Amino acid sequence: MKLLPSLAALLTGLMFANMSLAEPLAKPVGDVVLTVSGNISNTNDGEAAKFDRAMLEEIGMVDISTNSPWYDEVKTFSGVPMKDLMELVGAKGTTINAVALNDYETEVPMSDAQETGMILAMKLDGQDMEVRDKGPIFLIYPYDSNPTFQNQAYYARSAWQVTRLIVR
Amino acid sequence: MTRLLGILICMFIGATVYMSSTVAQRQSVLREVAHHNDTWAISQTVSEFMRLEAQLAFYSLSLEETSIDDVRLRLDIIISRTISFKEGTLKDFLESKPFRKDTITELVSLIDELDKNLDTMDVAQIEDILVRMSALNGPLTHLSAQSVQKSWEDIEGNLEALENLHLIYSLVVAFLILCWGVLVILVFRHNRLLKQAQKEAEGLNNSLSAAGQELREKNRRLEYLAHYDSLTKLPNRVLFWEELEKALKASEPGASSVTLLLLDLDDFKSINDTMGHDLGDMLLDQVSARMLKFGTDAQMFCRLGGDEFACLLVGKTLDESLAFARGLAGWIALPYKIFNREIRIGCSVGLANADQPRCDDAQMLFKRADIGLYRAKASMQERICLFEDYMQAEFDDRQELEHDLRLAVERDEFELVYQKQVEVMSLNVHGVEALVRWNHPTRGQISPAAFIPIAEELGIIVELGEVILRRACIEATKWTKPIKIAVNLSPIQLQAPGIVGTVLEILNETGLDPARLELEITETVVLNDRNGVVDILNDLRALGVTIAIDDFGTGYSSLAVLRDIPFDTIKLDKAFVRDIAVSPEAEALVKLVIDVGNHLGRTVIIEGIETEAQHQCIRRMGCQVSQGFYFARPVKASMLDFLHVA
Ligand SMILES: [Mg+2]
Repeated sequence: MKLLPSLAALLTGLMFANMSLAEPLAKPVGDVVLTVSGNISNTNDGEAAKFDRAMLEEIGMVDISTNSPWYDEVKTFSGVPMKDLMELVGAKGTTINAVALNDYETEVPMSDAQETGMILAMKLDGQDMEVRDKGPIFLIYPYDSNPTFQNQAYYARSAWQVTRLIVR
Repeated sequence: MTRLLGILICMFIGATVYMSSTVAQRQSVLREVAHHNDTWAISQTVSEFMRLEAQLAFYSLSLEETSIDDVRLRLDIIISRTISFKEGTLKDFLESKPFRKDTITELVSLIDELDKNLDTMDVAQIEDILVRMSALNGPLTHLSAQSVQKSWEDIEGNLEALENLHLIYSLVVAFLILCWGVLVILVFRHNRLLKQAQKEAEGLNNSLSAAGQELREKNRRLEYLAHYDSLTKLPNRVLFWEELEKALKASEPGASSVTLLLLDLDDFKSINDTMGHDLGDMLLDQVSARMLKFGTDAQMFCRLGGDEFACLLVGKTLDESLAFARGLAGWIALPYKIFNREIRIGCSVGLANADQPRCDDAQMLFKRADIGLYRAKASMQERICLFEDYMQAEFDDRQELEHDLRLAVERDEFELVYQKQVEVMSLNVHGVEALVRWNHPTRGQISPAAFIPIAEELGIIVELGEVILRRACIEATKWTKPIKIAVNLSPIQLQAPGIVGTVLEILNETGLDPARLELEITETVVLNDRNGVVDILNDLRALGVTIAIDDFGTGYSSLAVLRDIPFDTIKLDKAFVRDIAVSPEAEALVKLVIDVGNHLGRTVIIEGIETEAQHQCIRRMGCQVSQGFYFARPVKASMLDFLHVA
């Protein structure tokens, strides 16, 4: 286990040495909070890429402070940009199906991941989101940044209690 | 119009504001419809509650390897649902009826209980709670049904509101269309009015410019009339003076020397009188046309008035100017054809050059040309005269003489002298010719040849002639011998109206025997109006007065004169007598006249006998009466002693 950090450092060095080399995905250590499957190239568990909270946070967290239909005031959501995640898993497709704990499924166009700045929010006002707080993952768009996002189509894509993403 | 437009625009703005507010309203309604997925949330809650129930049942039966974590997950999910019950429209819906509130309160307390005790619950407790959960299935499903029902009601209400909005919207749009239509009509009307106004303005503009054009035309016409002669279309006096002054101002000695020509048609007046003014006008017109045709290098021609014309030459030498004048006069003198009649008219030209002698003044130059013209007209041969310096002195002199002559009649400066006419054989006195002398206060005696023409020109000859005639007649009545008294009559005097009356009056006044009065006329009187002259002469002779043709042989002597004119005496001019003693030709001519007179039974008086030889000569020819220095010089009345002897 002590070898892991040095291995990671070596891998990071390799990544900087040759950008074209995709970083091999580590195995999750903690509880798996997100499983990405479908048309992806970078996996760590068979056909799927599985992430624990730490792995996701390592990708790079982004904050979005915005109004939303679910809360009466402005909230700050923190999470991983969908774009970065899709790059990391080497996703190739046009849609991302987000599946919630209650098997509720929404379709997010791949273009939203690329263009809107949407994130997979894991923290609300700095606190980890538990299942009872619409956790572990809540798909959030920067609604206040553009009036076109303040629209039922985007609200409908904003699924909560998301645990799986399927790239198609 | 403007008010109507303002009202329309206000209505337009009002309608637009109202419409945008209704559109906003509509949007909010739509949003409400879209937001209303509370029904979904409740139905999901029902399904999640039942999944929890099932999971819990599995767990209590230890079926399908169900762990406590799976139950916890389901529990968490339902808890997250119940949190949303406390917010927004969902909360309103759930708290609006006691049944709903009670159901939810029961649900929340049940979930709370489960949440607190899940890890410590035994199977019996789980069964107990499953029973309670199962009892909640009905109310929850009922709640969901109510929500669906309310949702439909909301949708109905929203639809109704939408319909209302749509109606309002349609009305507003219809109203806007109406406003638009009115506006379009207004704009068209306005456009039409504008076009009309523009047309009117154009019309006004056109008529204004037409009026301006007319005014300019009139102005030009007036200017033309002011500067041009209407008959000949030549520039008139006004323009001539302007041009003359301009030319003089611009002139430099030599190079651009100015010569002024004044032209006067000879005897135009008689053509006008005898042939009519129409013909006279046409003649003037044709003369002008000739001038223009001839004088292309003249600065300008102009009609000064009547038959007087002027011509301005610039940059010509004296010789060139004179040549021009001669050419012009010759050209003008060519015959004219008017009304199929051939008309000839000459012209006299006076020239004055601004350099020789130098003259800068237009008036002065004109006067000089006028002097030239005067002399040209007086001249018998060349009727073209260039002004020269000495002419000014002569002119001034003559002016002075004219002035003095007028005064002389008033001051009685005239004196009569008398020259005897003798019978050649006996040397007896035949008669006496009265001759007038002017005793000028400074110039001394002036002969009639010098001042009579001036008196004729001034028109005082009639008055002067009457004075002379009266004085001669008075003088004659004083004489003891009843001899003839001969008095000269000027042609003008003879043709003046009332000459016969005047003669008769003087004869009556003085009591002179008419047979003693002989009136001497020159043969030039018959040149014009021969018939009139003959009538006058007959009338005079009818009074008993005799008529003598004076200076015979110098003028227009012809046998016709002798035939037509009633006369009693021929007075042969002294020019014929001068060489009579030495020249056979002269002698023959004198002899001829004497013979003609003798044959016609008229008296012939030979004038100018100054020598014995001449006297002998005419004696031989059979001449009866003679006059000359040889016999007597003209003397004053007081010297005529022989006539006063008793
Ligand atoms: Mg005489």
